[in-house]
Amino acid sequence: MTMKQLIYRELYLSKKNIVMTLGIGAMIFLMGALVLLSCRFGNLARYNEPDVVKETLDTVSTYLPVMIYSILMVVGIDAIPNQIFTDHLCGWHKFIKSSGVKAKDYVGAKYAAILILFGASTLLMLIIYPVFFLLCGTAQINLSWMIIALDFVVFFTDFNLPLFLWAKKREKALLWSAVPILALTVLSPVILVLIGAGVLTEEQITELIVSLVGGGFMQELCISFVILAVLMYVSYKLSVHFVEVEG
Amino acid sequence: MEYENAIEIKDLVKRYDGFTLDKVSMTVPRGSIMGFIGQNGAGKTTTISCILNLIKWDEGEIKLFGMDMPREEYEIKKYISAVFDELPFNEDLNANILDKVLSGVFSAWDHAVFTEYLDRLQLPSKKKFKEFSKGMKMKLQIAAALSHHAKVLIMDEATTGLDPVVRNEILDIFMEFLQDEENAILMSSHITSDLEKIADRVSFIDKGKLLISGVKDEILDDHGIMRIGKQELADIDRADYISARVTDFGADLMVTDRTAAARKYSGALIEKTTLEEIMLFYVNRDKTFDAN
Repeated sequence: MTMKQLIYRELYLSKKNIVMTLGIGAMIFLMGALVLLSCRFGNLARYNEPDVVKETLDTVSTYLPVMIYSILMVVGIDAIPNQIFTDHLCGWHKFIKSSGVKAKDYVGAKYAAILILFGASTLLMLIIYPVFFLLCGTAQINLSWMIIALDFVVFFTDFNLPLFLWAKKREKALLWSAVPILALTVLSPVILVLIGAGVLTEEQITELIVSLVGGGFMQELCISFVILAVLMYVSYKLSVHFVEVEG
Repeated sequence: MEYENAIEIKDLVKRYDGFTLDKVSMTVPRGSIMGFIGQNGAGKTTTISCILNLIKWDEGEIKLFGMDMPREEYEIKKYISAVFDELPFNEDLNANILDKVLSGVFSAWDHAVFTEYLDRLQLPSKKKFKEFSKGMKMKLQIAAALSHHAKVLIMDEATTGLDPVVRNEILDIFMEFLQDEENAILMSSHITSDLEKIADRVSFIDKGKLLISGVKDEILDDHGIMRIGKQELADIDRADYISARVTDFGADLMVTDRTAAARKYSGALIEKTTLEEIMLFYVNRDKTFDAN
């Protein structure tokens, strides 16, 4: 009972972000659709070599759904964790605690709302994918990249939620949330040096990332699911702990 | 539930760097309003936060309805309502949405009572809280606090900053709430005139120490202002007054036993006092202070 109403509150307060994200997703979808249609029936097909057209088709059909999927899921990463700051500003966290709502329910509602948003994004992609397939006319859709995108998004969410609950203040939290991004930034020059030295190729890196989540699609999906479930559980436990020790 | 005191605090200690809540003990019997007064930073919010188990305390005991806090926290919290100085609800919500949300927060949430309060306090149900005035926000908080059949209202500076009309409206609601003798209110406030109007009991805290706690009428009856000439101040026993306020025309002394002082200093003018003056003299205890 408690959880259901708290989840409703989280989703209601994310309404604006959801609408905005859907708008951006729709715009990118339309732009991608136009490129794909042009590749098949328009100027891109008419004035370019077939190889170039095929490459464009492949690139757009592979990465555009991943991009849309990531954008749709950003609402989960952004809106719900950011709600923590507003909760602290207005005193909702104090009200909830004084009303006898357990930390696991308060935190659980946030995780559940995020899972609902991720689930809705995935469902929406299941609708968008066949449309892309029809537009491309080929099966260039790479589900591995979708899973990798999902992994990244869930990883950042799992990192941010306990962090924001611990930090309470936006400035402090945002500073710490930059750590994984900074780590990637530091890693990038190392990778570039390795590529420059011929130790690694871009293809090898792509293969490496894909192989990290397994071989076949089902295997990737299962391994991803297990990793994400464990990560989310640890993140949830940490979040509950931070809410309980607060004060 | 069988209980005599709605709230019982015994030797409560909470230590912070630079501030200590020092062995605070007080009792709020059922059917009463306890006014909790003190300056900013005196320890009122810290005490209330301990009662609500929002912060952990270092020593002491807190009981509500005879049940131990924090051991029986979730059972206790079914029967209490906290009202804070600021609206604790996101300003993008409206009363309709809040109604739905709070029905999940409180197991005894009463939609009909909440709607009734909204009508009575003339609060719009579809308007976002960000468009509410300060008075409307407080009325909304009180409507929410009274809509789940709580037995104890704990209020932290709830009437501060409100205009007298809204304050009176809210005080009337509190009086109605107390028609049920099972109920009780603990109300911290700077505005001693409100407490003088409705409180049965008063506790006064200063710098983390509870200086007075008891029945309001007895406190007001016992205390008094003795008005004397400046030159007579030296003749008064220091143990007989809390502090002295020097004015252009003489000196005012706060005495704790009006009858005894009248007997001892016959001829001295001893007037009745107010909670505000008691607070002022106790804050300046052990010293002579200037009226300005």
